[in-house]
Amino acid sequence: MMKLLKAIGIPAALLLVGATLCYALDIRVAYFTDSAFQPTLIKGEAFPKTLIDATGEEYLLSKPPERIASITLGADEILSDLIDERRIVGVTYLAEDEDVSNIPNKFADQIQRIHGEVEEILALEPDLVFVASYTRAETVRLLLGAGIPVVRLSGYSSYAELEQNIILVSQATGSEPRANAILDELREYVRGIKDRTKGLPTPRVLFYNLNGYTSGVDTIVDEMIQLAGGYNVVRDVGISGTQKISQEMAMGLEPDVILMSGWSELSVSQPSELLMENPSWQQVPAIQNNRVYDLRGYWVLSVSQYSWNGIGQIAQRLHPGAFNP
Amino acid sequence: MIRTPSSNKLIIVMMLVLLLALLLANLFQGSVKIPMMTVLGVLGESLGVESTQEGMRPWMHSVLIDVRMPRILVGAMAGACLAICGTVMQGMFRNPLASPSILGVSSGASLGAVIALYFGLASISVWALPAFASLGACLTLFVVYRVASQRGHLAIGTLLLSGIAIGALNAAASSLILALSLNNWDVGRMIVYWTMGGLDGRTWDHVLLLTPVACTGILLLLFFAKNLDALLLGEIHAASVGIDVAKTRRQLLVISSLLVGVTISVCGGIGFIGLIVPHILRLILGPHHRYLLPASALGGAICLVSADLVLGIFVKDNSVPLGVVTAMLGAPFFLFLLIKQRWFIQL
Repeated sequence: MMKLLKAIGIPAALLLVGATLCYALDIRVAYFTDSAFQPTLIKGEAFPKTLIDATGEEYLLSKPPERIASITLGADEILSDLIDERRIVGVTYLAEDEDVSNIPNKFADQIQRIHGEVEEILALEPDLVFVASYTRAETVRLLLGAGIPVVRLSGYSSYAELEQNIILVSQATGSEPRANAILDELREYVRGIKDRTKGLPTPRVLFYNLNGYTSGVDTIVDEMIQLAGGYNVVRDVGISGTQKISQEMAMGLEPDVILMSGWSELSVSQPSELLMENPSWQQVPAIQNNRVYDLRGYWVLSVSQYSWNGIGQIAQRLHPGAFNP
Repeated sequence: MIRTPSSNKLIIVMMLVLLLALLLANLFQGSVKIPMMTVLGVLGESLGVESTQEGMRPWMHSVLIDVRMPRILVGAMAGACLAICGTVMQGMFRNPLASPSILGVSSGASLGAVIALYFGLASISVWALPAFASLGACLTLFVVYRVASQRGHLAIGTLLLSGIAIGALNAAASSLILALSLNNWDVGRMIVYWTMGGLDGRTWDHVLLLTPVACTGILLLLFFAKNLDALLLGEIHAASVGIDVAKTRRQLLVISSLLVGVTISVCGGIGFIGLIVPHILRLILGPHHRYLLPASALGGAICLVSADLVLGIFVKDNSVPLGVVTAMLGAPFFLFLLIKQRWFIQL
C-alpha cells in the first residue's frame, strides 16, 4: 500500500509542483527561442502609430523616433537612404566592412558602431531599435524588457520580402514617401534589365561555393538569377533554400555559368580561380567557356535596396553582349 | 593541514563572503562603464532606499538590474549546481575523475536540448528545453551506470570509459542533428547559438527557471551527506550501516541529472566545473560530505562567477564563450588527475 502510494503520490506531487511553477512564473516561450517571435507590425498612417513587437506587445510611437539604433547591416543600409543621419545614434560595425557593406564611410564618426552588446545599445538610450530575424533572441528580449520598441526585420528570401522590410523601416521612421520613391526606382531598374535581356537565350546558372553550398528555390539568389535572365540549375533537382550539394551533383548539372561568393578583394586568389584550376571540373561547360565569376559580398549578401544592384551585376555576366555592346 | 569542524566552518563562511564580494565586483564589470557610486545608488534604489546620486540614467538601471544581475545570478547558480553534482558523483562512484562532463551527463543533457530545439518543442513550452535536457542527462547516467555495474558492484575503469564512450555517442548525435538542421537556417542558427552557451543575454526568466530547481536540488543533496560518507567507504560498509545502496544511488542519479539538465538548458555546455571544484575542496576540507557539499556549491559559484569576471575584463568583445574557458582549465586538470591515478584506473 505504501509502495503504491509512493509510486502515484511522488509523480503526482511533482506534476503539481511543475504545473504551479508553469502558472506562477509566467515565462513566455518567445523569450527563450526566436522561432516563437512574430513579425513586427506598425498600425497607423501617421504618428501616433502603434508598434506590435515580436512578442505581441504594443508600443505607442507618439512621434517619429529621434534616437534610432540598428544592429543589423540591412537596416543600416535602408536607414542610410531613408532618414537624416542625425536621427541615428548607432549602427552596426559591419557598416564599415568593405567586403559586405554598401555604405562604408557613409555615417559620421560620432554615430556609435555597435558590436551587438546589449549594454552598449542600452547606453545609447535609443527610442527605437532595428534588429534582424537572426539577432539572438536573448538580445531582443533584453531590449524589450527595457521597454524599448524593437522592429524586427524578418524575411530575406525574396524581393517582395525585402520591399516589405523597407516599407516597415519607413513606417517606423515616418519616411514612407522616400521609401516609395526608392522602390519605384528599383522596379524601374529591374524593368530595364528585363527589357535588355528579353529574347536572349537563358543560360543555365549554378550559384556555388567551394564548401559545396548552393542556393535553390525560395532564396534571393535564385530570384536574382531569374530576374537577370538566367535559369538556376539546382531547380532541376528540387533544391530549396541554402543547401549543401555534392561536387558530383554540381558538375552533373552542367551549368553554362557558375557564380561564386567572392572573397575579400585583398585576397591573393579568388574561388573562381581555384575552381577553374580544379582538374575534376574541366569538362563542365562553364569552365570550358571560361564563365566562372566571383560576386562581391555586398551584392549577394545585401538585404536592403542595394540588393537590387546584384541583379544588374549578374545580368552583365550572364548577357555581356546586352550590356557591353 | 589540520582539519577541524570549526576550521571547515570558517572556510565555508569565508567562501560565502568571497562569493558575495565577487557577485558585487561582477556588477561593476560590463561593456559600458557605470560609475561605482551610480551602481551603489541603483542597488540602493532597487532595495527601496532613495538615492540622490547625480547622473543616474534609466539605461543604467536596465543594464545593472536587467542585464548584469540575472547574468551573475545564473552564473552563480549554474556553477553551484554543476560543482555539487560533481561532488556527489565523485562520492557516489568513489573516484575523483567522475564529473557530469566526464560521465557523459553534460553531453546527454546537450543532446536532449538539441532534440527539443530541432523538433520545435522549445517553441511550445519553456519547460521543454530543461525537461529534455534533464531526460537526456538522466538516460545517459543510467546507461553509463548500468554498463559499469555488475551484480551491484561498480568497476571504476569501466564507468569512466563507458562515460567517455556514451559522451562521444551523444556528441556525435548532436552533431548529426546540427548537420540535418543546417538545411533549415532558423533551426540551425538557434541550435548553434544555444550550443555556444555561456551567460550572455541571461534574463530574469532564466533566473526564475533555474532557481526553484537549483534550490530544491541542492537542498535535497545536502541531506545525502551521511550516505555519501558511508558510500566512500565501500558498498559493503554502506549496506552494513543500514543504507540501501541501490536506492540511494538511484535517488542521487535522478537529482544530479535534473540539476545538470536544467543548468545546461539555461546556459549551455559549461564543462569541468564539476571536476575541478570538488577535487580542490576535498584537498582543503577533507572527505566529509557534511562540509564538502555546501562548500562545493559555494566553490562552483565562485569559480564560474570569477571566470566570467576575468573573461569580461580581459576579452572585451565576449568572443570567447565561458564554456571554452572552463574547458581549457579543466582539461589539463583532468589529465593531471588521470596521470596521478593511472595505476588505479587500469582495467
